[in-house]
Amino acid sequence: MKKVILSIMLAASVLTACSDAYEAGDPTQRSDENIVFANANEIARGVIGLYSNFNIEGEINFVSYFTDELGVGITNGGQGINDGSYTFQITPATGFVTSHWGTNMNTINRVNRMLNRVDELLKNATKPEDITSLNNSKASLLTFRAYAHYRLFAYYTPNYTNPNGLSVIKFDFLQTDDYNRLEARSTVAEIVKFIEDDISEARSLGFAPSDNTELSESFLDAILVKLYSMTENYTGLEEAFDRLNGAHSVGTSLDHLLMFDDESSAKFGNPDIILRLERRVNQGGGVAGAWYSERVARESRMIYMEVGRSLYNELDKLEPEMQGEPFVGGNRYDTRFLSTILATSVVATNYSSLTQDQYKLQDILLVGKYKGRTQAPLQNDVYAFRFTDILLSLAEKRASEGKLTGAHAIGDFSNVESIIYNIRVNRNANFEMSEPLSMPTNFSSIQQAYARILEERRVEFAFEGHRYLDMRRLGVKAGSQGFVRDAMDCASTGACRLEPNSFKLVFPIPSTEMISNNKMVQNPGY
Amino acid sequence: MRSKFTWILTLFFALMMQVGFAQKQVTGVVKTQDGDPIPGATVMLVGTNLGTDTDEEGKYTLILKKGDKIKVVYEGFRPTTATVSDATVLNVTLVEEDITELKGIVVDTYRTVSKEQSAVAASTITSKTIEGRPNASFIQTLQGQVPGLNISTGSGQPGSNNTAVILRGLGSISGSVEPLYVIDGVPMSSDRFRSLNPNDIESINVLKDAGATAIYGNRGANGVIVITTKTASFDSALSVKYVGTTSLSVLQDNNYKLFNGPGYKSFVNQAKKDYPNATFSAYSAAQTRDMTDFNWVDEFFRDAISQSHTLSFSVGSKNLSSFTSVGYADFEGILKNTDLKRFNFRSNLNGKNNSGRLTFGTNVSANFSKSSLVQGNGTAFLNDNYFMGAVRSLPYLTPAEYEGTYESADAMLDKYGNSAMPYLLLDKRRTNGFSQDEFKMLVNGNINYKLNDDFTVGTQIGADYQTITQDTYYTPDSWNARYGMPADQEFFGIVSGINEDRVIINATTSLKWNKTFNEKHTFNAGAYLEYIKAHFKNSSFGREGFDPIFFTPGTTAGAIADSEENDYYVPTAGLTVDNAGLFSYFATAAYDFDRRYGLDATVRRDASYRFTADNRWGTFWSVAGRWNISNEAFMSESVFNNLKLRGSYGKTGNQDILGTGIFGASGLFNTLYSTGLGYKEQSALLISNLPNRNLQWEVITQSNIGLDFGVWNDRLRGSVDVYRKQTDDLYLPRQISAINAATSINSNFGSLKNEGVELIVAGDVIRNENTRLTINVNGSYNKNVVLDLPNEEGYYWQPGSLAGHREGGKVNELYLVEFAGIDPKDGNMMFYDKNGNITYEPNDNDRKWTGKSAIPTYQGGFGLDLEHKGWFLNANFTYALDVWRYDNDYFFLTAPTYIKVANMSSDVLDYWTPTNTDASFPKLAGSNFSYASGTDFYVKEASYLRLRYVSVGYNFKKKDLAFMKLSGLRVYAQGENLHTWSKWKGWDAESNRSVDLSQYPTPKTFSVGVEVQF
Repeated sequence: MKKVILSIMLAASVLTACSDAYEAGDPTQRSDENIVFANANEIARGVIGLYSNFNIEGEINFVSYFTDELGVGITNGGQGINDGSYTFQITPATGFVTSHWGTNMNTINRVNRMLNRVDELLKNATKPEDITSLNNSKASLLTFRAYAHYRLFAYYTPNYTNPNGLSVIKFDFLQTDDYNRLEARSTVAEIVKFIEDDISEARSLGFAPSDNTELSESFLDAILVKLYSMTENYTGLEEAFDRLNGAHSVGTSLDHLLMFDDESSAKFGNPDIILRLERRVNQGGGVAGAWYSERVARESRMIYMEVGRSLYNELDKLEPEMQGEPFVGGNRYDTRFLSTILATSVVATNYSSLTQDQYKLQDILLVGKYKGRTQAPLQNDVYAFRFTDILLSLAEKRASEGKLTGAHAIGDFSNVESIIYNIRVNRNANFEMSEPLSMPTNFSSIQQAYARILEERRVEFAFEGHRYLDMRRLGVKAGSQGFVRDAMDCASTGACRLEPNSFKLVFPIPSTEMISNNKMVQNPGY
Repeated sequence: MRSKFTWILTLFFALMMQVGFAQKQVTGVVKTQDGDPIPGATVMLVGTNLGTDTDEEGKYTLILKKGDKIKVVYEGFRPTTATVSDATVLNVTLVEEDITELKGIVVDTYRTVSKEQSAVAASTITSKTIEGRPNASFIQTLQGQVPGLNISTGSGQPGSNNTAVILRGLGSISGSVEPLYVIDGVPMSSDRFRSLNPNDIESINVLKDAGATAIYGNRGANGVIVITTKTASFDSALSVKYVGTTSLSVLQDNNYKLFNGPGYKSFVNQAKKDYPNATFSAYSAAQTRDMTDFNWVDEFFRDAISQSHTLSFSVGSKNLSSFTSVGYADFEGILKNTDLKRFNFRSNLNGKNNSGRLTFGTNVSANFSKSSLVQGNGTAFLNDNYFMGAVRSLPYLTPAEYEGTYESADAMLDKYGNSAMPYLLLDKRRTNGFSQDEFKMLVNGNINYKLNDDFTVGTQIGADYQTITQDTYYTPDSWNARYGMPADQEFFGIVSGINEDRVIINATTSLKWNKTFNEKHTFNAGAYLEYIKAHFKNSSFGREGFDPIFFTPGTTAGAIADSEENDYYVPTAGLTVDNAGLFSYFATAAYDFDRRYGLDATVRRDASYRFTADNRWGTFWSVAGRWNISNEAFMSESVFNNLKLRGSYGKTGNQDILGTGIFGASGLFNTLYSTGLGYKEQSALLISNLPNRNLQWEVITQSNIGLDFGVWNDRLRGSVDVYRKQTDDLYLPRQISAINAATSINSNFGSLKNEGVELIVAGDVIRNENTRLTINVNGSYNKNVVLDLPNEEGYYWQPGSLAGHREGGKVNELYLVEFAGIDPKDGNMMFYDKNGNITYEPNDNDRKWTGKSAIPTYQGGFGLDLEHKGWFLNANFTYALDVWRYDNDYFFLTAPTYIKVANMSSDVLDYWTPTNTDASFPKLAGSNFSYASGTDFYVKEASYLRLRYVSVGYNFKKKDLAFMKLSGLRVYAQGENLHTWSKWKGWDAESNRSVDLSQYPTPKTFSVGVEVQF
């Protein structure tokens, strides 16, 4: 029996020595926020981390497929067609519907956590440089929050102009791990107010000086202009516009061309650019991968999608003298045409009388806006805001005021026609000519003026991710037919047109949110 | 074990002699069917504890009277009863046990119990089923052998661990559903068996109910598979055995009805006539005249030759016994360039002191395997997936056009666009390599010491050590390595590698007590401590850009140094570590009354590193009882030689809540941060994990009632089990509002239930001196029901996926829009919306729960076993019913977007035209076909019945071998997967996936084998 007792004692001593078994794990994990975000420098690194969510590429991809920007490419292997992107399918489970919601909410959640930490650090900060750095970081954080709310507002709000209508969640609280918390949709007025407040606080804190690749005061005003163009707060729009005007301009035609040349350094000083998202070789999504698999070129054998024929025809109208002429070796002067259509494209002037298979092989219109870099063939910088966009937003105000036409001169933004004139002068690459290559003529009614703005936006911002919201905001006002594809581009899919009043121009609330949040109300039509 | 038994019996025997109860002396010889004597068999007088062991000539002597029944027992043979007549000689012939035999012993890591005294649900498979089969992994051999054990292999790669082994239904949704594997007391760190030699296995015990598995506590929730390797017995002469097989594997057939070259062209030309608006063009007259036809399946697959050799030695002296085996095997895969080669060594050593009080043993096995594997299966990239290339390559293209260079592959892409698939794949095959070398060592040592008559103290320490070296390369002139590369990049080629070490150490210390009171009350009890610690280390590197002169696969020879102008040639490197551990103490108790009633109980406390201090410890337990009805006095005249009712109830845990194995998924209870490369290549800080503070074990509660029976001296035998298994605290993705920075988080919420019936029956239709014919049948029914889910709606579905879970439905139930046919008017596809009306544009609201899933409701096997004068024939069928999967290959083979791009199924000839309105496929242009992929249009039944295994052979009689000095010779021919009856169109109805796209099918294999014993 003594041996038995000895054995038990031995076992008991082993027992106490064995806690290392369950105190194991991955030794590299860090879980304490006070260690990770310990000082102003690490907060700044956290802000750098938030830029990863700043993704325009996904929006460009979605919008180019869903609208009338693209046509089916010569080597399409079902991309965008089998999954319904090109055929106007949109559901609460559509990839971009879900990711756009998720990414922006993720941004705000992280902003709120960091704001909380910044305020703790500010309480104890004594060194002036630390306080400045923390304030600058805080300004960036508030800007990210305002921008994310604006992006959600733009896509998920059914009616921008009804202050009491439903918008998105007003996300002004610290949310860590109370997963049962559910929030209802706030009203349009509440969201607008919240964005305005964040912007005004960010403005008061100030940003560290930088080039056009980082958040700035201009970026704040750009958000306001875009927001007010939706809510039709035209007073606020013009005030914000005035702050931007001067410091920025639509740039010259050369600026415009070089903006889409990623080997060029001219982008740094381009006054049209309000925020450029710089993509280094090993970073960023690579926007051209939405249409090409290998590189942006004619010799890229995998061309999933091409420029839609209806868009090409609009670009072709910009230079009436050349209209209908095949595009060969850069024989155009309008920089929108030159930047949008790749120089190695092949144009069949008689395209509409070709058979489908001839059309596929003989009319090859390649997207040229993102040419890639030598070292990263599918990668490009992308633009969050351009002044031209802001200026055309002012044009929407002018149209609403009935200021449709009149004297036009450089720097005169008093009527719609003159604004378009200002843009077109600076998109003419024929330096022997100081006038636009052409001007639209019909400004006979407010509706016509809206139609001209929508047309101008279509050619100016092709493949920049604007077309969907532009149609949403202006389509009905402009009496537009909506997204209209050329008959040759839709014969095989039957997806030829989407009306401007379609419910599909407002995103559905994603399935994940609808399932998890019983306070959420779905948008009409879904 | 045997010697202890003899000692006890002798004592009683002596006592009885004194009383003078004896009537006459009966002697006899116990022999095998072949007439060989069996030494050491136990001969017992039925209904008493009287008995003896046979001597070296197989002889026994007992004092018996007429009418007494004796029962002869010897391991590996079926226990046999004989009745004493007037004669004084009573010879007994024992028949070898086969796989359907339910006698024998039940082994777990901690206890060994005779089948009679076992109260748990467990199935035993012996070496006879496993040995000499041409499967690289023994686990495939178990298919259809054990009721309730569903085995579906997802890859035909030799030795692949892509095999789903599910016992009694899916017991978890996110967590591990696979049983725990224990080899000679060492728990395996992963389910990778490619390096192990199946011929070393003596027996496999499949432990099913809580009574059997609760002793494994935290890891027993999905059942336990206990593997015991061969050992030698003490006092035995040297025996040398050779087992060799050679086999030929071929691809199974598919039913896609692919077009041949001319057929494809005429289909396209007709389609173009019917649809002038379609974007593809017709073939020109010259093209149509060219009747070239090439079968790309034959280009990518081959008839594979494999061989395996095992040589083993067993010998035992008085105090030491040893078993040693060496093996070599070379398995070719049916896909060209895939194979597995391995070398095995095993040494099992057992020793004891003269008194038998001290016993010890060591098991050492060292195994090395090299495999060439395939990458890219399951993907839809035309330059990556050979399995897709085999079916989808255009049948009028031929390999001759590809010249075996990068330039040639590139020219093919220019010429053929998306149709260049076969050429890009030929280039990949020429230039790509992916291989893994694995060294695996399993070591175990144990010592047991009998402190006195009642107490035994023991300890065992085991280690599973595994190191894997993985090499991947693309040569510098590989098309894949050069595609999409920057214009100014000069050097190409990719080499990457991974080195992974993992070791898992377990130590168990036990104190056992065993005592019998008043001859009828036997108690067994044990107390145990178990410590498990595991370490993992992974290092990886990658380089790009090589000088082709020096490039050598598996090395970085010729690597170009990084320069300032660009970053093409920067090497990458990584090193990760992980640690895991478990600590447990537990106890068992068993009580037997007169071999008629038994009661077992276990309780176990476990601590896991995965949970916070509050939830770290879990308590798991079980109780089990039995009633050996056939041992009751009132049953003495019945036809039942065995009738036992048993029942168990208990609780086990599953700590592997994400199914990532012993490592991984740690720290989930914490908010975690990480560093990364952020905007403009600046270093950034990110949040990387949202915490689940309440993380805890998944708990499985299982009840089981079973009946074992044997009638007419076991001529008909079997068991029936009924069980209910409920999993609570399921660790499930719960959809959460996006305000949480994520849209779902896993948490312990929810429950599911598996209920089922299992049956195994074997009957000897013929049983005489020369012939034995046994028919065996086993089957199971399992009903899998999700009881409770975290969402208020009562279902979970990840948007965009084809399957989900709902309360009242199955786990991973297909959730799809229902296809309603082709509209005869315009050739569009029709679907049912949520109200049952026809829609042409279905959306997610129109999805329905189909009641279908990829896990079978019914599965099992049946077969026959015939022996006649040394000849033998075994045949085994397996089946799985109520299996539904999404055939993604069929989508690609029928989608109109691929006309003139890739080969198609000729089923598509039945497309809609104004004159073919009753079509099975929609019109070829301008239809709403893009909706088809989210619907049940491509869901196909994958139930099957398969002739899994046939073996024919001859077992030479010992006396015929004497002149060759052999003690055994057996030759046989066998076939695996010979024929499958199924509606599934692909090569292989068997799969462990819900959605199948171009995967490695399991082959059909023919083999011949020989077993020689010296």
